[in-house]
Amino acid sequence: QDEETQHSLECIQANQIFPRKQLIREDENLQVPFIELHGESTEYVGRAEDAIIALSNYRLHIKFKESVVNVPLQLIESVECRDIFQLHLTCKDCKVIRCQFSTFEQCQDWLKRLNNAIRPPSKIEDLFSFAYHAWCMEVYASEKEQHGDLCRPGEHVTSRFKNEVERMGFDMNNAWRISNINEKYKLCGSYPQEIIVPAWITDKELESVASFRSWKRIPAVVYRHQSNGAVISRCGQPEVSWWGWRNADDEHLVQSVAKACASDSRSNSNKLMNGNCSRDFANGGDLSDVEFDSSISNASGAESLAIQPQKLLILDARSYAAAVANRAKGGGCECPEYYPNCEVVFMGMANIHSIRKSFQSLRLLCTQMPDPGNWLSALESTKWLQHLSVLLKSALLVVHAVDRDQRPVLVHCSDGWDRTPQIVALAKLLLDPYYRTTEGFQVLVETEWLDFGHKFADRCGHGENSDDLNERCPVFLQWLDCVHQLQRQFPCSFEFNEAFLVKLVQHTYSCLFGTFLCNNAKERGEKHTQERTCSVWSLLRAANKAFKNLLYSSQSESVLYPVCHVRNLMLWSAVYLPCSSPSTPADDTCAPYPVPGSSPEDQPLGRLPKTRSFDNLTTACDSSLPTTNRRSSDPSLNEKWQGDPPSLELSSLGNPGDDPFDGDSLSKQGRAPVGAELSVAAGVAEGQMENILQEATKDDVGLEEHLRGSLEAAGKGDEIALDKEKRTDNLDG
Amino acid sequence: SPFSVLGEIVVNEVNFVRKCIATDTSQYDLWGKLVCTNFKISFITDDPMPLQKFHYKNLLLGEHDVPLTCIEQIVTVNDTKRKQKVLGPNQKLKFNPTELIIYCKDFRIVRFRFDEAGPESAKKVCLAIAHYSQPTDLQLLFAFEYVGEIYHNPAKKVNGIDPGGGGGGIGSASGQQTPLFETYSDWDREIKRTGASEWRVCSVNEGYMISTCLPEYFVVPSSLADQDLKLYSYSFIGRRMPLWSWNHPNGSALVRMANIKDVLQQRRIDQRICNAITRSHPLRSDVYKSDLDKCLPNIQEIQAAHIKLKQLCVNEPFEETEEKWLSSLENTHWLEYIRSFLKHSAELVYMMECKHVSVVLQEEEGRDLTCLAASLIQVMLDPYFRTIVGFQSLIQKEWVMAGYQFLDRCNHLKRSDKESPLFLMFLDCVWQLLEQYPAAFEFSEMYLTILYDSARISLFGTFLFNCPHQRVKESTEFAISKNIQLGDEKGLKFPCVWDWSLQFTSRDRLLFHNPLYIGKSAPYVQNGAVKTFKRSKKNYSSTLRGVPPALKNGIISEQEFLPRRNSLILKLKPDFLQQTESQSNSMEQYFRDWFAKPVDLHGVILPRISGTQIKLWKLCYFRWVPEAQIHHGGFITAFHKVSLLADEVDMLNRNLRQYKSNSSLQGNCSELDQSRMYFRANGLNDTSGAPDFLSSSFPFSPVGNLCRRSILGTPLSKFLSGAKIWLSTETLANED
Repeated sequence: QDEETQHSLECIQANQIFPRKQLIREDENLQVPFIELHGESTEYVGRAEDAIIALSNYRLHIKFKESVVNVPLQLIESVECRDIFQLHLTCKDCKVIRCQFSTFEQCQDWLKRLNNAIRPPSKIEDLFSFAYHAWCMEVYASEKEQHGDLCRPGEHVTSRFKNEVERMGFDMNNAWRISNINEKYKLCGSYPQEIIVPAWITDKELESVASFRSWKRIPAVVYRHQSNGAVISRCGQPEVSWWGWRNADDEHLVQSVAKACASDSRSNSNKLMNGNCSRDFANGGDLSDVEFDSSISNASGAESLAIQPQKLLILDARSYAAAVANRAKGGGCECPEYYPNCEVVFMGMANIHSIRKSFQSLRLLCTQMPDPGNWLSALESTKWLQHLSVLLKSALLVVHAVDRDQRPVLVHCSDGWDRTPQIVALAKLLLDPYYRTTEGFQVLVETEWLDFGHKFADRCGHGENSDDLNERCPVFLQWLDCVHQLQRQFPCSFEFNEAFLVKLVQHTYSCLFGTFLCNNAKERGEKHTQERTCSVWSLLRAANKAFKNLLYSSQSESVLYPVCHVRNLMLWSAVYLPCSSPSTPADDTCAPYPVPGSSPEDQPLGRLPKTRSFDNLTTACDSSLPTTNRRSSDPSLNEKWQGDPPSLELSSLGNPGDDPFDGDSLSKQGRAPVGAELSVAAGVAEGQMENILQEATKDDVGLEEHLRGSLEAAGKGDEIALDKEKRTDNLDG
Repeated sequence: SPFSVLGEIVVNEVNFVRKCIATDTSQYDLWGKLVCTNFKISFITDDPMPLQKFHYKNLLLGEHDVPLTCIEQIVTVNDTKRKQKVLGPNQKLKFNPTELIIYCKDFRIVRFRFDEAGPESAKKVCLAIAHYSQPTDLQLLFAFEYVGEIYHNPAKKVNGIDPGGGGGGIGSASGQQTPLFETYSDWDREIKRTGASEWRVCSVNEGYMISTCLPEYFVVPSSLADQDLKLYSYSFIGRRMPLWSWNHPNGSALVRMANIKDVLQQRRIDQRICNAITRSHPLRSDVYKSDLDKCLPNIQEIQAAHIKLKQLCVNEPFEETEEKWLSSLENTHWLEYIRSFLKHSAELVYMMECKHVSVVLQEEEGRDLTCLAASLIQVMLDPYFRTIVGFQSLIQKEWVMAGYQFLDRCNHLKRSDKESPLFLMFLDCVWQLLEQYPAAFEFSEMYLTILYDSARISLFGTFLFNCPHQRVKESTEFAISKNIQLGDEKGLKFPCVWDWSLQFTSRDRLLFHNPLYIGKSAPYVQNGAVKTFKRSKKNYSSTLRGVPPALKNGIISEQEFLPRRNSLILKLKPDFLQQTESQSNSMEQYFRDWFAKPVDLHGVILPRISGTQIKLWKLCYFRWVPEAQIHHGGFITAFHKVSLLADEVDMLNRNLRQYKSNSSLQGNCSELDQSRMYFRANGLNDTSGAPDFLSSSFPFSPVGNLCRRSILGTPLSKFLSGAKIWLSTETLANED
């Protein structure tokens, strides 16, 4: 009872805090051409040339004769008026939208409205995710059901730190400890509250180190190789400055990371050795001399390992010149003489300003699409793929060091929140198959990007008054692009598909979910975003079949060694190119068969794997389509709400698990023909698998019929069908 | 014995040879014996363990073997004297080679060191290779030796298969033979298959009486009498009169012909031919002529592009190509030419499909670009040619029989300045379609690559000659000189490349099958009526329902199928499809509509040709570059996974069938053990991952081919500095 009252209170609050806006229609006959989300209210509906244009507190919607554009306001970077009558919208994810008006005045009106709408919020509550969450809660409350958990990420995300420490097998007795020095973010505002450091390093020493590192971002251990114990740690640059300062505690800490690795791995190999010995003895000691010798040499190897820690690799993402130049601003890089048993390498990765520039040229290229004959050199001139290549190489270098050479690595750039998470998160993805599962990937993003303070608000430009264009840069998008490159090279190694990544790109900017709000965990805590917004993982969850890679095999290679040469990299067309072709973008060598559908019969299923953003709302927002179809966009939600009262149907678009972008493609699932029992699941390879299945059964349609009849008579038909489905499901991992 | 091919003899050999595996270390090098035979060069390792962990094997060739016809260039080097020499035929070598580098036509580079070998025998082997790989006469090619042996000892058969056969399909299950179009009946069947009722097989060229570069039988409009044809033929270059290729279900025909050289007669003959073609069209539609010489790259340009491509893909040090890779690739023009062939063919598809007109492909001799364009058009229009047997019959029909000059274009005798990789370009174009429509083809990209390789094994008659007549003429001469009784046969019968069992075991041939293909050659029963997908005209016109319209407005469309009207291409080629404005609009509309619709894989398929859609065929061009190899990754891993799933579906299906046969007492379970998949699921609960040996180069192994750095990964320092340690032959003084 209490809960209910509490909820109704909440919804009153929701109504008051996020009241619906008055709809202004330029023309009495105009209707809102789309179904609003929870908490969404349309402010303007008007006419452009041959189009209906509408603006809500979440999106801009333009309905052309043949197509529909649906773009979240926060995804729009800028709006200009061109050639008097045309609005020209540039999006943060590389797309460009144009809309022609009949009169100059109309164009100016909409320009004004849009410029107002896309401005960074003056207070964070102005972002749509807050209204969305509040109204969602209200709906759930009125349904007398608890759906609040649908907005939350899973337990694997919320207790990630504890799980990860356990999973990676840190030796917490001798080698490592968890420091609470940053409790309540009192040491460093852009770091998590719990930090793994070598066991013998005191908090006092850490404080001293913090005074020497940029933004007090001290070396923190974030990954441990499960079998050899080598770790990856990350930090900000040392504040060497022109004066050439050094810090004994910092030097000690860096040394200690290597030592802790050695003692940690020693403890493990000791265990192993003991195990071997006892087994050998149990076998009756009939070992040949050779074997005995080898075990001795192994032992001495491990011994020497313990005495002599592996040389630690300090990977500075910048070029040497850039690193030295940073001394002018109080930063700098480690002087190898002060850090014995370390090797410093410079990766020469470009800073955010160069990346932004490269991205802008890419955007220009993708909107202008030069003659196919000049496409490759034009693409080369954007340098986008070259930047990706360097990033991948840096990550691969970390992988080589950790996996093959068993060396600990320390990664940093200047501040340690742009290039550093790119490299570290990518290296972890290559090293550990766990991060290639959907859940693991969520943990990876939460840890390396969110906990360690990548400034999403500044980089994306959706923070409070974050209108400094110099701070913006698609750093996270660039990283996702690298993940996409890996997906292409290893089509069976990821549990999630390309659509997952494409969605993630959109919702990095859309502000429908609260995950990527603010600049760091501290701010998110202060703003209570977790309590007041939905998590993007409620959409991109493991159970969502639309994002499953059907070719995933969990047994796939544990460490990935991609080829980083530009010749093996592809432009991410699903994100950057406004595709006019009806299929999902085709692929390089490792295409998981993205070309959809084949014969018209299986079209509804074949067309499922749509990955594009707002452009695929074409039919979804067409009011002629039954809205109930939308419900099936999420299989698991469907199950859950099987017996829902019809009242929810109308507003079902607003369910948090539903992707408001994807309605169209997924809604088609609802119209899938019977016989879909053979279908595996939605996903990239769906269409093709369906074809295979049909092919396989084709020559005996009659037989199938016959069979089904006889089986059903025996009451076993469902079982067989189910069996098949299960089997294929199993195979999918 | 490794030299099991009939008629193969060892010419020369040298022991204690080192095959170089990596450039920066000799640690992985292999020791063995280098042998030159009259068929191949062979390296027999002392350690019998193969490098390849998987057992995909060509029955004719060992792991380290290179067929002599595959050799492009032979370079001998002497380190101490700092000399090098490119070995031509019958040349002398003034120094004892310490090193032999073989550049292969398939982009391999193989390097042998003779540090421990006898200097004289090393030299002899090098000279033998140079001599035997550059024969002075066609009849010195190994195929003749082999066939001679067959005729002398009819009991001996290579690998137990009759080599004279017409070549079975690769699917033993289907049992289908590839039509070779050597006979009247093959052409007649093709006429019937395509419903070309107003066309007839003509045998005026029997015994090659009219033209020596035309097949003995070909198809012409029914309204043209043999007498007229004979008369007209004099006006055509090479007397290559119009040849029918294919008929669209709507009656439009695809015809190919050479230019008319007789200027005075040109107009009249042209008129007569066109009238006859029009008369053979059920709608009496016009004829659309496309002059390929004017709108497609010529063979020299294609050859130049290929050389640049090879330079970029394999000759340049791997790391050094990084910065400028994309623009260098563009500068080869290879992809641009691929695009122009696909584009032009698609436009002709439009003419036949939408305008219902017959298309005549015209080219000077009508035996180069025409082969490519005619085959591409048919692959796009007719799903039959996307099956393995269909595809092979297409190559027989449009290349082998139509007189594509394989001998000169492949340069088997290494003396021709007419070399041009048109056939490779065709396979590449087909690969682009396969890449864009992976489920539309019965064959895999491995099949295409292996087919390309097979053109450079001089055992098969298929790709050895400039035209069918040359085979008859040369082999008759050969037979006489060797005292072989031909009897009624027209020339010697060479083994056929389509007889894949000569090269691969039946299990290995399964790799040719595309697991995503929905076979449709077998009719299937639906609603009681037998229905074939094959020729139904409604193929994609009936797909309108439930389809979202094109998303053109609003978001700037990426790929206009055609370049903008004022684009460079159109400016450069003003007479490119002499179309009116309205026609070009309607063509654009056709393509736009087509791409807006869902694809019917059993109907027409059209290529996407934008900058992002035409790609480099990595399996074919990168397979020998160890650095470009993605271990445990690449397309093959997906292929593997899909194969398992498909195999499992097959298995379940067989169970169902078995259930049925049990219930209806029709026990026939012989098919139970048959699988069409190379990779098979081990039972229903198979959870094992992809096999360890899979890599993006599979089933080819770049290990053992020239690598510029250590195979087991790079030490950190070298990784960073980018190894430039590969011994460059350019830095050495040339002996000449």
